[in-house]
Amino acid sequence: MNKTLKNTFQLNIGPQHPSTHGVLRCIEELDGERIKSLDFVVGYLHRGMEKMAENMTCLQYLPVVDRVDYLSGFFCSQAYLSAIETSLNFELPKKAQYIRVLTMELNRISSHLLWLASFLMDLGATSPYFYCFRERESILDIFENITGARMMYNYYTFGGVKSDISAEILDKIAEFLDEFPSHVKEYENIITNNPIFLDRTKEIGVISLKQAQNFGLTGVNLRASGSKADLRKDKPYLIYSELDFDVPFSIYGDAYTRYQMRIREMLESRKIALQCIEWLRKNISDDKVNLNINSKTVKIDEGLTIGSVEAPRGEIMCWLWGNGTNTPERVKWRTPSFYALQVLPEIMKGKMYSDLMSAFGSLDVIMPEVDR
Amino acid sequence: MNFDLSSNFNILKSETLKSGQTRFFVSKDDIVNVLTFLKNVPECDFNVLKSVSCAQIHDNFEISYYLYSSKNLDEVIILVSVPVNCPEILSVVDVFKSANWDEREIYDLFGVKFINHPNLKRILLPEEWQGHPLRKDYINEDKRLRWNYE
Repeated sequence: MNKTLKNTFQLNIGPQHPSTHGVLRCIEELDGERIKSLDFVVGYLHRGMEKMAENMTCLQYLPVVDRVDYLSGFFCSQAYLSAIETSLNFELPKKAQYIRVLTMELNRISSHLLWLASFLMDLGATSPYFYCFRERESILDIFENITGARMMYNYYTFGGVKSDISAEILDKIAEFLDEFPSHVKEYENIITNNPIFLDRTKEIGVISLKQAQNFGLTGVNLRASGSKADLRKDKPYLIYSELDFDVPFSIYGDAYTRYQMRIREMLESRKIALQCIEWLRKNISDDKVNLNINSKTVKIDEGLTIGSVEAPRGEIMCWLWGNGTNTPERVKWRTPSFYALQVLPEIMKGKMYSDLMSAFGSLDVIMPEVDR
Repeated sequence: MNFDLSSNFNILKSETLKSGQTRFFVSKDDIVNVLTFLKNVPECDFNVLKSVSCAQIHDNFEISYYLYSSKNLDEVIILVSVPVNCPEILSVVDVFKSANWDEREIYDLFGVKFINHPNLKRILLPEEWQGHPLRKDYINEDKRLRWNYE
């Protein structure tokens, strides 16, 4: 008899688990507390976004687009619309471009705040949650004033944005941005040098630059590993080339670095937003915020166009095949979390089970974006 | 673009998209060699495969590989065409690991078989799902669904 005792066992996490940021099932093969292999089952939030596009006109599809990633709806709209606008050679009014950048950067801050809150919650710290949600609430209030919605905005339209921003709202945003650095200081005071936080994030989930590039990571996850790639600098869209901002990057590639990068990126976003506000205040009398196109009649030219945008989680790409009618032939979404999740089995092999959730949390994966 | 793909491979067609990317149409048997060439030859240095996508154009699946070079900030799309009645192509997971889930997704939604893929099974849809929804001739005939009751 050549029967040896099997000394590994299987552990299942999810699909319903608070730290999986949605609905994700992880199947782990554990040897004691070390992870031998890791497998993901995704698709629980699959809504058939790409199939839906084939049965709708591009105007009907516009509100759906916000739902691709519900924490950064503006970015998805921008990716989709930039594909259509490039295909039809629309030149956006300057004011619409500034409003888009302003709303997107505020959206980036709110998305990073939610990431920070839930990441710290995964690690067992409850109080940062309340701090972050306090500021996120102010941003969502601002969005409600601008667009009428708090999460699913449907604010951008073909050739611009749907409505102008009033001077009062600009004041409100400026007020929020003025006190924002002091709030960031508050987070940093409780988090950055906290010994428990350091123990749980330093040298956890290290991704080398080679790995990151091989797995197609983008955004903060890539920049924390030593790349400077940022679409806003490399291939500027809208008015990013006229704005002054830095792209934070580092070389260590662990969970702690990714945390630092996101904190610094929030402050950079604030810088961009302030420049937009300055411009918008100067041009408050200009009221051309869209091209007044009858959205029902928008027809997409034949052929492929790709709209890409640097979203909080990385690069969102919208591939759009037109066929000369107002219904797209096919739409394909390239979402950054889909790739960020793939890297996890590789970096967690042989590591402790207790580090899984801090590595997973630090990648800022959001499931609706993976499943689409 | 400072490299010459046509001296090494047979390029059927090339065009520039409105969004700026150059697209090369190559034969489907060449795909692994083309991607390996673009990744490893120093002048090209396309070290990131950002996305693999598929679309059904008439009787063909057009599979596009979006490559990006972090050194030259250059991007290029390699396009191959696979007939709908014999949807088989070599997998590029050995060259770029990011293709793993992309290829599974295309297998799931279009039914394209990737030869040599390490783990080719459905990813977004449940394993018992019938058919491939993004095909143009797809009809959902699952008898368990309320609207498909006899």
